Amino acid sequence: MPKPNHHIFADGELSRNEGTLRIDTLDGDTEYLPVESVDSLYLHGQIDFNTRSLGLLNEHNVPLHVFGWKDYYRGSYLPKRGQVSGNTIVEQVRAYDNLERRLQIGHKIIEASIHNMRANLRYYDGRRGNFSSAVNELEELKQTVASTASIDDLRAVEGNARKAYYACFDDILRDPFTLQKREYNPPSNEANAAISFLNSMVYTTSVSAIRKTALDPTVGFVHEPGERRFTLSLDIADIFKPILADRVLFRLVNRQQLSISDFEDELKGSLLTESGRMTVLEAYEKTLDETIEHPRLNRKVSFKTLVQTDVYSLKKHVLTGEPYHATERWW
Amino acid sequence: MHVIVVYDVPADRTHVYRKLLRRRLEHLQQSVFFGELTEGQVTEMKNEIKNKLTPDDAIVVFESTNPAHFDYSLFGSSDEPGSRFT
Repeated sequence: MPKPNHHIFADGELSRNEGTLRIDTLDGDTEYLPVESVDSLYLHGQIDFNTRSLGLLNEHNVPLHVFGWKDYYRGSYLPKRGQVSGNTIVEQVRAYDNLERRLQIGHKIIEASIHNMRANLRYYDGRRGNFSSAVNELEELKQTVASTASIDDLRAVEGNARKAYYACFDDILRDPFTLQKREYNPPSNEANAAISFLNSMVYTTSVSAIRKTALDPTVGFVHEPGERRFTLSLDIADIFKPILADRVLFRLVNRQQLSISDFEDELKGSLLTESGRMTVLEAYEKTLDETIEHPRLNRKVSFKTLVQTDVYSLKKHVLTGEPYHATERWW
Repeated sequence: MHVIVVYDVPADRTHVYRKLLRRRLEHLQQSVFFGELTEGQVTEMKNEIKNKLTPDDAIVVFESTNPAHFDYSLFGSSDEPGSRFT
C-alpha cells in the first residue's frame, strides 16, 4: 500500500525535531509525524513553519499542499526534484509541440475522462433516475473524440460531455442537494462547493503523483500551458475526477453522511464547514486506499497507485512511444 | 505491513530509540510505537536498532503482513492509531 497522506487542521506550528516533524497546536498538544511514512502533507489550518521543517520535507520528498481561507487551494511547496531527466522533458515538450502526438495523448485523456463519467452514470442509471439518454450522449461524444483534429475541438467535446454529465447530478444527489449548474469562484450552492473542494483534492493528488516522475507538471496536453498553474495535473485530474471526487460526493450525500448543515453560506458563495471538510476528507482518503485488481499489473492496486501508474504510463509513452493507457474504469 | 515496536531501555537511553522510531512510526504511548511500513523500511529500522544496541536494552518488534489479522480496541483516552488528521 502506498504511504498515507496527513492532514493538519489544527492551528499551530510545524517544526523539525529529532529528525522528524513536530506539530505544536495552539491547544497545547504536541504531536510527532513519522516523516518517512507520509506521502503528502496537507495544511488546512493556520500554521507557522520554518525553513528547517521545509528542509526536512525536502529530504524525504514530501510535497506540502497549502489550503487557505475556507479551504481554497492556495498552492504547493514541492520538494526538490528527486527525478531529473532532461530526456523526458525534451520528449514531453516535443510531444506537446507536435500536433499529431499531442492530439493522440489528448484523445486518450478525454476518452478516459468521458468513459469514467459514463461509468458513474451507468452505475446510477435506474437507481436514482433514468440516465440512458445521457449515457448514450456520452458514448457518442466518446466516439467523436478520435475524429477531432484540433485541441479546441477536443476541449469543446469535453465541455459538452461535462455539461451532459453534470446535468444528471441533480437526480443522483439526494434532496435537498441540488445542482442546476456547475459554478465556482465562488461555488454558488452546497453541491458546487463540495465538488470544488473534492476536485482540488484530486488536483493535489495528481500534483504529488507527477512530482514522483521527471515529467514537467506545467506542460499539459489538453489544457493549454499558461502561467502559474500545473496544466499536466489538470489533465490527469480530469481523468480521475469522476472516480475519486464525484463518486465520493454521491456516496456521502446519498447516505446522508453529508447534510446541508455541513455548509455555510457567506457572501453569496457556499462553503464547507470544518466538520464538513473532515467528513469529505475522511471519505476521500478511504477511497484513495481502496484497491482493485489491475489487469496489466496482475496485482491489486489502490486508487492512489492508479493515479501514479497513469502518470508512469504517460511518461513511458512520451519517452518510448509505448501506448499510453489513460485509466478507464474497468471494474 | 503493520508494525508495533515496544522498548524497555535504561532511562538515559530512551531518546536513542525514540528518535529512530518516531521518524517512521506513530508514537502511541511512552515506549510503544505503531505504524504501517514497507518491508524495506522494517529492515532498515531493524538494522538501525541493532547498531544502537547495548546489553541492557530490550526491544521487541511485532509485525503482521496480513491486515485482516490485525485489529485493535481503544479504552480510556487513547488516540486512534494511524489517524491521518491532526
